[in-house]
Amino acid sequence: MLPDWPSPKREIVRALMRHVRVRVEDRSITGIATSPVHEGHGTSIHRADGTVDERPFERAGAEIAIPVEAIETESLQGIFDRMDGIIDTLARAKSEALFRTVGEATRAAGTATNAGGQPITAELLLQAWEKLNIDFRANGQPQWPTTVIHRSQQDRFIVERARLESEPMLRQQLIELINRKREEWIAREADRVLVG
Amino acid sequence: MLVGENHRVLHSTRHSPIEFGKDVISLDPDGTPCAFQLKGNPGGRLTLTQFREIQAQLVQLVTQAIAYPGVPDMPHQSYLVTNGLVEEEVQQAIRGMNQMWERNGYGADALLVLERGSLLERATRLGASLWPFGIADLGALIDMLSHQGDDVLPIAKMHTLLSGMYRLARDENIPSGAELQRLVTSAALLVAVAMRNFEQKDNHFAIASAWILFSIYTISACDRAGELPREKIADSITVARGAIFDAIADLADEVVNRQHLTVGPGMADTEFYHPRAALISGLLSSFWLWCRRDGIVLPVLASVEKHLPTIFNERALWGEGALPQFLAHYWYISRRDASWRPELMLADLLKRVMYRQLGRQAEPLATPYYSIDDVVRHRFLTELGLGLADDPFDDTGFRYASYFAEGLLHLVVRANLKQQCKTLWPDYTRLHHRRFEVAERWQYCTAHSDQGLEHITVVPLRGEWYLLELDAARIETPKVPSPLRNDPILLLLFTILVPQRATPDVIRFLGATFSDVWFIEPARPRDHSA
Repeated sequence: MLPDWPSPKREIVRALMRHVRVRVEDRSITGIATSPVHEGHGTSIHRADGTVDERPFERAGAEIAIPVEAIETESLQGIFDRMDGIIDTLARAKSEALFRTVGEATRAAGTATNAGGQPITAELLLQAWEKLNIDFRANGQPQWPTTVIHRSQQDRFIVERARLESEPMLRQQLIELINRKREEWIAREADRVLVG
Repeated sequence: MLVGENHRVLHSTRHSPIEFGKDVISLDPDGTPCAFQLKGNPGGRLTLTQFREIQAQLVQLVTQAIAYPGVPDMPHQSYLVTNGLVEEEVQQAIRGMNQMWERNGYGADALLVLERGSLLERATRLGASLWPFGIADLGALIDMLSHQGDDVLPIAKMHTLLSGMYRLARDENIPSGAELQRLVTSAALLVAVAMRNFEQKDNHFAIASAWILFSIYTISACDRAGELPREKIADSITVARGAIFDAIADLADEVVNRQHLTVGPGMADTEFYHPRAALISGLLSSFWLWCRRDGIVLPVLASVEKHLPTIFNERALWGEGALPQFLAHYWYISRRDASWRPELMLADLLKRVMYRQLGRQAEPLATPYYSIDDVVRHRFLTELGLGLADDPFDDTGFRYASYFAEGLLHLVVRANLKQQCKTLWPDYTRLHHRRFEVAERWQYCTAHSDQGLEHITVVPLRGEWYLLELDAARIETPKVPSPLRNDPILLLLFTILVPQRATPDVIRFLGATFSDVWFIEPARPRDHSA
């Protein structure tokens, strides 16, 4: 074989893969705790109601072709830059898989709210939260679920979220929802008992 | 080598009840009993002084009948085995002893000497049936040989080595029958070669680990081929068990004779001291349970009992990977202490695990897939001058999930600690209970399987005690091959090495095997009276 330096090259490949992974995560939904599965070919979720959801792992992949000429002429920085081409593809595949899984699960659990193609509104937020279990902190404050929205909806979401505080009728509805959810939470916590 | 020469190995350990008095006992192909005394002189010579030290043992070897079950009542052949050369004076002394024994009716050449040259000649004669020419991944062997031998056994490398040897990663050309027998003999030799540096360092835990994995992967290969370990394969596992027993007995000897448990540069040992202590407690507890189960009485056991703490070491709970060690220790304590104290300790351990996983007390415990060195690297990333890329945890979260809470709870339920269980229940319902189930039974006996499902269970908020009792009473282990289930000591040791295999069903089974705590209905199954 030709002379080679495999040890530093392994480090470089590792750094390239990490670069891709970090950038993919930057462009994906953030704030979701991850818990890796180290072996096997899928997961099986057993819910408290007795239903079981078994899923194989989904493979997200993308290809990149680097011509030999590029290796002759470019520096390592150039190869890092070329990785951008697959980052979007991978980020999209990851997000699509996540939304597909969450969508199926929420539809099955009856917690999905369909906006029917209409923009997000304060009323829609109340409608969506109504279907969810909301936990409360020790000080009685609700632990609101994380809301994931498209960038294009971000400004509108801030405005609509503010309406819940500023418009008296909506505010009253929000307070009633919080009180209802607190009672549900207290009942749920009180139900964590071992009987017999 | 004996197995390769069609001997049937009946006994292979240096640490056994004194009446056996032989390192290895076998029946040769003609059925003649053979007794072997081993003397290590690697690269050296057996001198007359060394010979005088073992002369009394050799007299015993030749003149005392082999008192071992299954050995026919007939004269046996004795062997002194050394991996060095034998000095001329020693050979002369042995000739003299043989003449005396012949006059006394023990036959000619009552004691034969197998020295290095003889061992090499036998190895050459066995040729392809001994040496693994079919090794798929010689790199794994080289990798093992590149280790200094003073670290813990690199399980991933052993997995590569043994999986390659038994072709576990391939779907076709599955070895069986005579070919599998040949591979087992070869694998045993391969492990012995791979462990060279660890042997030289007297790294007892690593040596025990290697033979545990050899036995387990051999069971895996047999199960995959639809065969039970028989004849040469069974003999190889017996020999490996002897090596495991010896290595842990050597560890026990060393531990009880040491002033402290620190190793290497003390200033770097703070984070490893307590995990090491817990690992040793787990191993010595397993050893104690092994001796108890097999009725073996050894002088070192009294010292082991003095050494083993009667409480858990809280600082040793570095991750869920440590819990099989705690469980082995609990089963030992429970055997020694007839009060409820051990079971209350277990309930408290479960409480602490759940507190950690719910983020109420310190950081959540890493899953059993992470080792103590991963945990230390993660915790001291900055101090060690490592970058984020070197963090073994990356951005992984361990909160709200446990691989062990279910198994631990079921053991507490068996103790009928209903009030404690009621107190623990709310937190138990807040966790996701995880376990990995292999697709095929043989895959259980590997450190990593690409086939299988990660089960994540959310329990109902309201629990029924009688349903919990029913779950706690289950002892079936459908994914554990029967030869491994029938050898619970090996199974326990395997879970200490590969903690992700300590699934709730395995914990329940081991609990029923090693503990007599069972105060619930339904009654303990009859074949599992501990």
